[in-house]
Amino acid sequence: MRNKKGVVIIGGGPAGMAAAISLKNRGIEDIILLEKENRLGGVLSQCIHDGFGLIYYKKNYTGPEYSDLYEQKMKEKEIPYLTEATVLSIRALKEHTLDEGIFRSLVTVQASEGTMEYEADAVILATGCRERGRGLAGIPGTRPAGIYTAGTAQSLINLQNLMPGNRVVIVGSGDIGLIMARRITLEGGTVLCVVEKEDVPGGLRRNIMQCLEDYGIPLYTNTVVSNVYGKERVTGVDVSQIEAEGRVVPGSTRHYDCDSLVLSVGLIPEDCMVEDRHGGIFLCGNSLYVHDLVDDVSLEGEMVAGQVETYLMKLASGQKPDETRFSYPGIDTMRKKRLDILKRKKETARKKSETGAKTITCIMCPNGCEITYDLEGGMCGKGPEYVKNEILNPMRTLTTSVRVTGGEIPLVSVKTTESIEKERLMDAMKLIFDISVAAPVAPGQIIRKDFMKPGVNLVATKAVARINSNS
Amino acid sequence: MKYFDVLIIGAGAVGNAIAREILKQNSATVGLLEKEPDTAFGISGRNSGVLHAGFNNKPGSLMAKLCVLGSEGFETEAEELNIAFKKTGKLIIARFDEDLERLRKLKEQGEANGVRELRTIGKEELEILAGYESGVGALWSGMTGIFDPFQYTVALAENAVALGAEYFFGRKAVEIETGDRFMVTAENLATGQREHYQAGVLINSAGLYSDEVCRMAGIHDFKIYPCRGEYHILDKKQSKLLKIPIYPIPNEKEGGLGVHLTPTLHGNIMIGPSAEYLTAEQDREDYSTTPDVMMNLSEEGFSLFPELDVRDCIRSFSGIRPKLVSESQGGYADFVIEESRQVPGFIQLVGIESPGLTSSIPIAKMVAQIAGDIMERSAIPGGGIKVKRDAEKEFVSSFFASGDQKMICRCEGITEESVLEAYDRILRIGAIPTVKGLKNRSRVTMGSCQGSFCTVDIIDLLQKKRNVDPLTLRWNGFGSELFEGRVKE
Repeated sequence: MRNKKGVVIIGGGPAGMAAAISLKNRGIEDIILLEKENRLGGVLSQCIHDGFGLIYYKKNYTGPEYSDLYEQKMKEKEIPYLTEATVLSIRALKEHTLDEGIFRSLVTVQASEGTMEYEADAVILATGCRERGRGLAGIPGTRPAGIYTAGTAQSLINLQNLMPGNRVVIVGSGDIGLIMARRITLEGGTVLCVVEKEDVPGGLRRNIMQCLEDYGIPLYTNTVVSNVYGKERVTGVDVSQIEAEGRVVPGSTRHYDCDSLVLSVGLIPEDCMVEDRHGGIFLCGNSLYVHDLVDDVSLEGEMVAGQVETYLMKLASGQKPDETRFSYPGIDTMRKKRLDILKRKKETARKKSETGAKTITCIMCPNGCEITYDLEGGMCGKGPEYVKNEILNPMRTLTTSVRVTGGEIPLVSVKTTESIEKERLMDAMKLIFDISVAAPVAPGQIIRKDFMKPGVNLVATKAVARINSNS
Repeated sequence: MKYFDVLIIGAGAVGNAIAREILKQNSATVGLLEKEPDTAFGISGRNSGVLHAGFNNKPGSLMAKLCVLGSEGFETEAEELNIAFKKTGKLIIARFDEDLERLRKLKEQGEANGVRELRTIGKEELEILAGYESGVGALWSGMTGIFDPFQYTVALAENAVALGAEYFFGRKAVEIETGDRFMVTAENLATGQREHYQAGVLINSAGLYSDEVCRMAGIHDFKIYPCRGEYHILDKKQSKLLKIPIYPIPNEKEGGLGVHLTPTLHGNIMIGPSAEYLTAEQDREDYSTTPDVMMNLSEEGFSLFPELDVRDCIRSFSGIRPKLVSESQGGYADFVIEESRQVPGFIQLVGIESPGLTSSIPIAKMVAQIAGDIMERSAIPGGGIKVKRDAEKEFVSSFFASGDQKMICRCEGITEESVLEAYDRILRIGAIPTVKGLKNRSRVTMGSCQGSFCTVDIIDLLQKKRNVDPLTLRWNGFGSELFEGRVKE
């Protein structure tokens, strides 16, 4: 079956949904979004922690809530999409060559009803990224069970109710690794340490603060896993300091007994399904480059929609569109923004070292500012208030999951509607361990009223349908 | 207690091929004991996947003879087993002028062994054939090819089962009593219990442990020197660069063919193997990959083919050769394939290292002949009666997924249907399901993402469609359970 389409959007995560919604807002109706999973949302559904949308929406959403915002808009605006549709290839339709380097694309899709083809004027690749694994990280040693990438561990713990390990060493300090250090700790596991081979941590400063420092998990930089032990299942690892050119510092090796390794050693844009890199293909989100924040991904989705609009207009009027080869719309803006933040941080650091002032990392937004005790150094304005609280009575929002009976998945993600005392997080987890709710669960549904303190509720952050609820 | 006319210890490619050959020729009952949960977990699944032509082995040796037979007969066998095989040819590169003399000797040796399609080529042809610019000449071997050692070993087992073989996986032989009949005690690694098996003819095809199995039967003639070979696997992105296996000139003392580059049927490129003799203190199955060798493989791969991006390594792994010569002796000993003089009725296969995979079917034919003679001589029930079984053609497997189903692995384009089929095929030969078994049969988790996307989906699928409890699922061997429990009970 071959269909003609103006724009085919590949990937129903935050980037793809933002692009589709923005195209529709611009009056481009002849579009379809293709998603390989059985639901929209991409990786957000397993990111049950909060911190999404702080910059773009000035609100603190969890991953599933952020995804739901876009899903609702997709439905409101009646944007057509297919789930369980895997794109097999994107080829240039040479017979439709308009001008040198400008092609229409043929997108081949494996959908539940069979193989389909779309002829598209433009294709937006919003296919996200994949995780680097043990091979690319070059970790030596035995090859037993118990080695997972952080994203896999996240999906296992948050969606499948399966514990990858109880005594864990985390390799790499990317954000997912840091988030998983906290998740594993909250769920009763022990994270022995996080090792990072570079001299600076990979993840956001706020995540180091609220995922490691809050729980006393050590982070070692310039450090690698230099050996893995265990024939069938991981029984331990050696951790060594490295110097220039990756040489192990003699005498620096320590052994840890553990039952698993979680790897957070980088992400790679997933853009390889295009056979010939031809014109009329646009990228956004993590398939373009790996973003720290979903806020930037959403923005980029909108920007790429603008680019596609211009491209289609030129195409319709017979002009040769410019910049058609794998366009990178947002990258310059994003880089500039990141550089600004870095500059501000360096300034604070310089001040700090000049004055010798003690600082606290603000976790109110992803900027991760270092605020001095005289309340300077914040960028978004929330810093001073946070620092006062952090000194007097540190508070945290708790995000975790609760068991569901009769649901299509065994767990539902939950959060506290307001932050609770940091010291009482583990007590809260003990209470949560005994809670079970019956499916169906709706987002926002109150699981426990006045949880841990009056006025704070424990609420679901996503929907869980009853199993076989379609019958 | 179970009785078999022929009992085989070790269900690798050679053990499976022996069962198949014996059942093709005899109406004997054949059983196989394998300590791993599945076939192809040992040597058979840990190699370059190359069908050798037979020029590396000494004229007159069993290795040379059986390798050439294996090479000549493989296309027909591959067709019968319904597996893919690609006759790619192979290049042995002369880097410098002084190497040309060694190439000439290699060619002479090959011709003495009866290897066809050997030709020395010059610098220009080398460039045209392989886009290879860093050599002065090469030996071209047209008979060499590549195949998937998992597909091959599994297909042999499936064919053997279709012919009537009975497999006992997770059974480790621990004791052998000799006499009129053999009695083998095996430990069931799944239950921890001891089981007993009786046999008329006992075949030792235990690979890395073939010397130990001999010792159980009272034969102390052999010592296996395990020699590890590590590999890197490169991402498919690199596949366009290399279509033909590229080898250096083998170092005769090394006991391996040298670090080479091999394309796989599926579009990856492998660099390796190294040759590291394990010490007596090391576990014979220490499949570790080690920092120095990992670094060295990348360097050698790069120097052999500078166009390759050797950093694009998605996985490292190792295999272990069951060598009969020590590191100081160097080189190769010949295969030992014979009925023991000391223990009549006991057929010993020892030192079946490279080119063992290529030779596996000719080895099996040779062993089937010996076993047939023993059965006739000892009036074992199934011996001597040649009944052509219809089942010979029964086995037709589909290693290649058909379209129109839901995709589970986007890296390799594998459907849910193929994974479920792989699961069912594991059960069909009596093996115990593991992720590795699924992977060997369907290629799931073998792609660029190495399972970071699909592992969860596979577990979910097996839970829903085959009622598999994820907590019981293993990665490979006994004790390699994937999970430590539920997050919330």
